[in-house]
Amino acid sequence: MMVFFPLVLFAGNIDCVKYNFICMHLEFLITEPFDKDMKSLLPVLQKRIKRTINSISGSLLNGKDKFTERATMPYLFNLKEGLTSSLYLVEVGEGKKMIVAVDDDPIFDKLSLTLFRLVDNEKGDRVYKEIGQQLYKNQGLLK
Amino acid sequence: MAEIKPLLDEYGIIHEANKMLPDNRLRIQLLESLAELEDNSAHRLGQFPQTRLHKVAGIKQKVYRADIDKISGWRIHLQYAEEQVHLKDIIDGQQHDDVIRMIQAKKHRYN
Repeated sequence: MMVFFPLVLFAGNIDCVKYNFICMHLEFLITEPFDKDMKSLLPVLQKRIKRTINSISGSLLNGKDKFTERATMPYLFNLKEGLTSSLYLVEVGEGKKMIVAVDDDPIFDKLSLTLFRLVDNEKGDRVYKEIGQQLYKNQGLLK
Repeated sequence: MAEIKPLLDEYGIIHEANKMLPDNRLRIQLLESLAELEDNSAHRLGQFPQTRLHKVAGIKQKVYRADIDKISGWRIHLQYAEEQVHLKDIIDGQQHDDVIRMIQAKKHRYN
C-alpha cells in the first residue's frame, strides 16, 4: 500500500527524518553589523526583539501574514536581467527596524534570512538603500 | 556511470570564461567546478566542497554562486529552475562581499 505524507512546513525544531515530514527549515545568517546593533541594546530589549523576530520569521513558513504586515521595500533597486530584490525593511518593535534578505533556497531546502542591520525606525529607509546598493554592487548585480 | 544533473549554458558562459580567465590553472578549476555542479549526488547530499555553492542573498530568483577559485574570487552565477542548472554569468575575481560577511548561522530560531 502506498503511504502519502502531506507537505508539512514547520518552523520549529522537529525531527523531519523521524516523522517522515518534508521540512523546509529556517536558517538565520547573522552579519557582524547586525550582531553589533543587537548587542548595543539592553538585554531586556534584545530579548523582546528576538522574540518578535522569531515570531515574524516563523510566519514565513505558514501564510506569511505577520511578516507581510510589518515588511516594506522602501526603495526599488535597478538590478540586471530582470532580477528582483528580496531585501526587506521589517518593523520589529521597540522603535527598531531590521534590514533582512529573505531567500528561498530549493537546493538546500531552506528559507534563509540574512540579518544585515537593526536600526532606529527613522533611519530605516536610508540604511535599507545603503545596504542594498552595497550588496548588489559587490555581487555585480546592479545595473 | 555517475548520475547527472542537467547543466545548461544558453548564454555561452563557458566560452566567455575560457576567454576571461587569466591562466590555465583557473581554466582547469572551472572544469572541476562544472563537474561538481552537474554531479547529482552533490545536489542530493547538499555538499559542494569544490564550488561552495550557495544562494545569492537578496535576490528573489533562485540565483546561486559557485566558486571557480576561492582565493582569487573568480566565480559563476547560476540559476536553478525546473531541476536544472542554468549558467548565467562569470564574475570577476576582484570584487568582494564584505557587506554579507556572516559571523553566525543558526537553524530554526534566532536566539
